[in-house]
Formats: sequence, structure tokens, C-alpha cells
Amino acid sequence: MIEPTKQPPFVFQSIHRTQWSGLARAASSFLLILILSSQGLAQQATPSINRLKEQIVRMEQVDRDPLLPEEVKAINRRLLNERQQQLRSLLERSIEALRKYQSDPNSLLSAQETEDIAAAIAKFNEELSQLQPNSGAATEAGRSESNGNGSGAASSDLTTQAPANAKPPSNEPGEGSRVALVTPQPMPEGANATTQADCYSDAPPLLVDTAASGAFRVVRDGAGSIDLSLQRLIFFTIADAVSRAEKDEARRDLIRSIQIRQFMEETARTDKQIGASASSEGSTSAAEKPNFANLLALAIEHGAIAKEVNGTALTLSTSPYAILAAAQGDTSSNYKKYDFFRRVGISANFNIDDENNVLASARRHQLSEWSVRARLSGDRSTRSPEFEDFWNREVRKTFEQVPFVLVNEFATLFRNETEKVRRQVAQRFRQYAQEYLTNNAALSEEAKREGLQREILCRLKEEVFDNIDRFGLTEDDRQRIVARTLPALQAATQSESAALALVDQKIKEMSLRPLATFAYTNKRDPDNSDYSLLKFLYERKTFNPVQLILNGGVSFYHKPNSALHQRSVRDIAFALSLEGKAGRSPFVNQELDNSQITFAFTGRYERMFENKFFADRKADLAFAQFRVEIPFMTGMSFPFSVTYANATELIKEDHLRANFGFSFDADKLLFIRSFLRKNSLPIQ
Amino acid sequence: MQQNSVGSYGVGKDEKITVEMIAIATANTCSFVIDTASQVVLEEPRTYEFRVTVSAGNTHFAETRGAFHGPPPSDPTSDPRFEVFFTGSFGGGRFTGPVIRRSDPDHMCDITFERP
Repeated sequence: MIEPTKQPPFVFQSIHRTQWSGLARAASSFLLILILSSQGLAQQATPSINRLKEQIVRMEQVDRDPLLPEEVKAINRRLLNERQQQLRSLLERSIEALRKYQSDPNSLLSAQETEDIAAAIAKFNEELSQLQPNSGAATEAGRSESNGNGSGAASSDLTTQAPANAKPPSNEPGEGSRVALVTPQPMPEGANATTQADCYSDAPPLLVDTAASGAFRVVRDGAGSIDLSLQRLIFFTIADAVSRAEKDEARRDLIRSIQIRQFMEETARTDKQIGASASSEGSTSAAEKPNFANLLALAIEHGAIAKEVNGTALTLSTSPYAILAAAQGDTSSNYKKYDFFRRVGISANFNIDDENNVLASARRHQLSEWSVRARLSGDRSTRSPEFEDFWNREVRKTFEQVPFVLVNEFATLFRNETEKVRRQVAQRFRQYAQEYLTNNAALSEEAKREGLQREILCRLKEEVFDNIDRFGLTEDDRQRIVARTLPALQAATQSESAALALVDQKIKEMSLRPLATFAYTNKRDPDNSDYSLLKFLYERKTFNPVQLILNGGVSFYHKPNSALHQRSVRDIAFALSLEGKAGRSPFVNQELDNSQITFAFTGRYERMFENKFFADRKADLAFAQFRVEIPFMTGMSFPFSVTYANATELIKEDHLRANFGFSFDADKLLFIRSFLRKNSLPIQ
Repeated sequence: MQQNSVGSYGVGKDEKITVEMIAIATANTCSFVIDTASQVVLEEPRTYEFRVTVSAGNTHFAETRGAFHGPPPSDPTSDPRFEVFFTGSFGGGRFTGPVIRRSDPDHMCDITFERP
């Protein structure tokens, strides 16, 4: 990028070198110099929207001038592009600020003032939509500069711009426990909201989205399910037709700025202990996490930390609630009823002798340890009674506002004769949906969804938009739709942003609470005496994005062997770990999967009492470890650790060791596979 | 009460309609909104009641909506969802209405209760 203070000399130099002449060229160059000079000043302060728009208009005039040399146009285009970016950013900030202002619960705005703000937002939105992120000028500039007429950096700036509404996936570590709370549900490919029908190419986005959703349901569940979207489809089409006849520009464009969001959260949990405990063979964890898998987690890890012998281990874990839920259904009622069973987790760790068939190793004689954990802290999840109370108290009213506006408008609009027409149209849409499915039975699901979405939009255009008069709308109906219902719908959708922020805040607050677990582990040691471990596991967030994990425990021999100097108490151990997240793994191939790369620094101390009687062993064992876990496919990850230990339980020798493994989270994998299967999407 | 389709029902004058929304593998964060007076008669599962008040040839319009939060489901064979059931006091049985799935592109469903 050229610094503002360097622009005028550079431009002059270009002009002299090309030796172009003529009055028009001189006038154009003078204009360009004026613009560039004024921009140098303008860049030092925040320009207003109007100022930027003026500059863009003038720069576009320069760009269209056929007499100007390409070098000058290239500079102009780059600056034009910068102005467009600035304007886009300013518009987005203004819209956001207005929305916040509008949704302020302490606001004293009158109905008229609220409407005025809604109109201003719609106007800004319209201006934003007119700003094409990679306009012809910008793209052309990128082309010309990449041809050697400009610097590589400038070219890169121009060609890598994202669309105004495209946001990269959030890798904010602080948002690790949630991914996309306010993001609309990812639209399956076939139900692509951008699919526009040629016969209704300017349908509002709200209508296109609803048609996509209707087509999705019809293809999956049959023609009758068109009814689940049909009232909104008919109404949005009527609203579009009525809006276009409106003289007031803000009201006319309002329907195009409305977006109904989904209330949904996806999770990327990293607080479950999937692998074996730190003391088991093959473990890559020096500290244990207090949470545990609800359904089934299986981890195969290779390596060792607290043992001299390398081993390969299989860990299976579950919760009694999973068994109850499988029998009685995982309903909200059962979830609350069987709260105690959700607090308990059980797991078993097996030594593997056939790495090609690990589950075959889950035999009694290969059992190396089993454990039971009891969660001491309360339910931190969004299924907890606490979260539901919060929802009912703080969010439900806002959540019901969009449906409330819709049903009241439907009830007012579709009465008597209008209702008779609506029923006729609805009946024909059921037929259209059925005919489409019959006539296109051979198409793929994706092609059916796409084709049916177009069919629905075309039929809406034909049956509703082009025949709006048949509904017998009165002037009052038309005025109510554009002046009251659509603004109310927009206000309702916007107030959801504040409600969603509250939900987000609540989820964060709950996730920040400490988690404490008591664990009992029964260890089977074929070369030594069996023993039991009692542990207290504790986790709490510290500073973003790092959390603190503390483990403390004591172990007891079942039958101490005095010949080996064993006493009842085998050892005491403490571990402290600082864990963090480094963002979404670049290796996961499913868009839905937000699995995070995690890292941990861990220190562990163990006092092994019997070792003080052996000259070749140490009683005080200390470990320091760095561990990173990289998800590489959905539900699968690659844990790797480097550990320094001053000794092992069996050998008095310090060493540095690298361990690696393979971890598999069935909860995550099955959820995503289930989602893809239900939506007939390819499972990668 | 009779079922015309999964989202459309024929109802009689003054008939009392019961709507049950069962949350599976998700929190009980769903709502049923209708253009007439209704009340929540049970929180778990969330159950609403309303009485048909429209005249012949007219319709009660309703929306069911679900919100999804929380971790992946315990049951791997299905994703989190709200199952909706309708029962009319004039008989006809308990009808299975829409299922709002977390994996759906849209978590709102239009419902009509039409008087012939």
C-alpha cells in the first residue's frame, strides 16, 4: 500500500513519463490529483459515509475515462477499492450501532422513532448490498497489477478480499465451548439458500431461505410437509408484492433486510478425559480431566509416562445414563429424572495385543484398570434446570416474538374470502409438491431439493405475486403489512440478537464454573500387587484461553507384599496442568466439526514410598510435560507429548521421552455422521 | 380433530386442542405460539391447550419453534429434536405433528387448525 504522503509525487512521475496530452486528459489528471491529495488528508480522520460515497463516485468517473492511461487507472482503482472497503466497514459499524441502540432495553424511543431507526438500518443495508466486494474495477485492477504493472503486495491486497458478509470461522480461544450460537443452521447443499429461480430472480432472501427449507422437508418427509413452510411462503410473497408498490423507499426495501435466525449452538468440548489415566500403560496424559464421556469413548494410545514399560492400551468409558437413555429415550424429562446417573462415569482400560482388532482385546484377562467417577459439581450444560429456568425467565418471550408477529398477521390477513383463496393456493401447492416428487423420482436428493426450491419460487410468483389481486387485499391490509407487520418482524428479529447475547453470556458463565470429580480406580498389575487409587480431579478456567487442572490422589495396595517393602499406602501424587486451545484444527474435513487443537503444560510429582528401600530407584518422582492434541478427522485426533522425568517408578534414571497416540471420540463422530446421514449429505 | 397433513388439521367449533412438545436429546427450549388465547398446562413435556374460537371457514394459525443448545446427543441414532403431538377433545386420536430437528435448515414450522 502506498503511504498517503507519497501519493502526489508518484502520480506526477507517472504522468510525466507517459507524456499524454489533450485537454480532457489534463482535466482528468488534475481531478485525480485533487482526489488523491484530498484522500491523503481524509485518511487521517474517519471519513463520513457521505464523504466516502462522494469520493467513490468521483473515482468511478475517473475509472470510466477512456482517455486516461492504464497506470493512472490502476492507482485509481486501488484507491477506489480502499474507499469501498472503508465505506463497507463504516456501514456495517453504523448498522450494528443502530441495532444495539434499538434493542437497548432502557431505550425511551417512541414507536415512530423505532420505525425511523428500522428504516435507517434498512437504508444502510441496501447501500451495503449495493457495494460489491470485488467490483469490476477492483478485479480489473488486481489483474492489471498482477500483470506486472503494480507491486505484488498491492495485487495481493486486491485479489484476496472476502465478501462483505463472509466471515472466517471463529478461532477465538475464548469461544471454544461454542461455535456458532447465532449463525443460521448450515444449509445443506441441495437446499442452498442462494438458489434463485429464474422466474422469480429478485425474490427476497427471506423467501428464498424459506423455500429452501420447504423443499428440504418435502424431499425428506413427503409432499404434505410443504404445509410446515407454506403460510410463511405465501405471506412473504404477498409482503414482497405489496412492498414493491410502496412509495417510501425504506419501507419498500424492508423485507429484503429481514433475516430469521436459528437459535442453535454447536459444541467443541475439550474437557472430557478420553484416554487412560496418567498412571496406566500407554497414557499420553500426565494430568486427568474431571469430565467424562456420556456415551462411549474409546482411546488407543501408544506410549508411556509413569511406567518404564511401553504399552498399547484401549480405554472404554460410558455413563449409566447412556444405558437408561437407550432404553427409555433421552427426553428432557428423563434427563432431569436420572440426574444422579449422569453424575457417574465408568471406564475400563485394556492392554491391546492385536492392534488390528482393538475391541477384541476388551477381555477380562486384558483388563488393566477400571474406574468409577462421580461428578461433585452441578450440571454445567444447557440441559440443566438452571439453564432452562434462565431461558424461561430471560429469553423465551423474545424467542416467541417472531412467531407471534407472524401468526397475528396471518390471522388478520387470511379471513373469510382471503382465507378461501389461501386454502385454494395451499391445496395447489400440495399438488405441485407431489407432482414434482413423482415426476423427478430418479433425481438425486440434492437435485430434487434444488429443483423443488426453484419450483416453489416459480409457483409463488405465478400463484401469489402475479395474482396478488385475487387475495382481495384492502388498502388497510397493504398499509398494515408495510408499515406495521414488517417493521415489527424486523424489530423482533433484531431483538433476538440481544437475547442470543444473553444466552451466550449464560453459557460462558456456566462453562467457567469449576468442575470437580472424585475418582476411584482399580489397577491390576500382573508383575506386582494390585492396588486402588482415590483421586480428586479439579478443573477451572484461569485466564482466557487457559484453564487450570489439578489432580491429587493416594493409592493403596490391596495385599501389600512386605518382601517388596510394600505398605498399605503405595504412593501419593499431585499434578498441575495449564491447558489451552490453539483454534480449530485445519485438518478436520467436516464443516460442522469445530474440534480444537489443544495444548498443555503439565507438572507431576509422585512419592513412591517403597522406592526408598531400593538403591536403584527414586522415591520422589517428578515429571514435566508438553502435550499437544491435533484433531485430524471428525472424532479422531493425534495426541503427542514430550516428557522429562527425573526417574520412573522402576529405574533411577532421568530421561526425555516422546509419546504419541490416536484418540477417538464416538460422541462427536456419531453426532456428525448422524447429521450427515439424515440430510443425505456425503460422509467424508 | 382430523389430520389433513403434518402441518394442517381440521377442527370443530369450541374444540379444545392439546399440543405436546417433547424435547429429545436437547433442552426444553421450544414454544408453540397461536393467534388465540392459549396456556401452558404442563412444563415437562411442554404442553399447551387452546380452544377453537374461529368461525366456520376460518383458520387458527400457529408456529412451533425450537432452540438448540448443548453438546452432541447421547443417542447416536438421532439428532436432538422436538416432537410435536396434537390431540382434539372431539376425538380422532393423538396425531403426530412436525419434528423439529437440530439438523433441519429451519427450526420453525407453520401449523394451521382449519374449520371447514
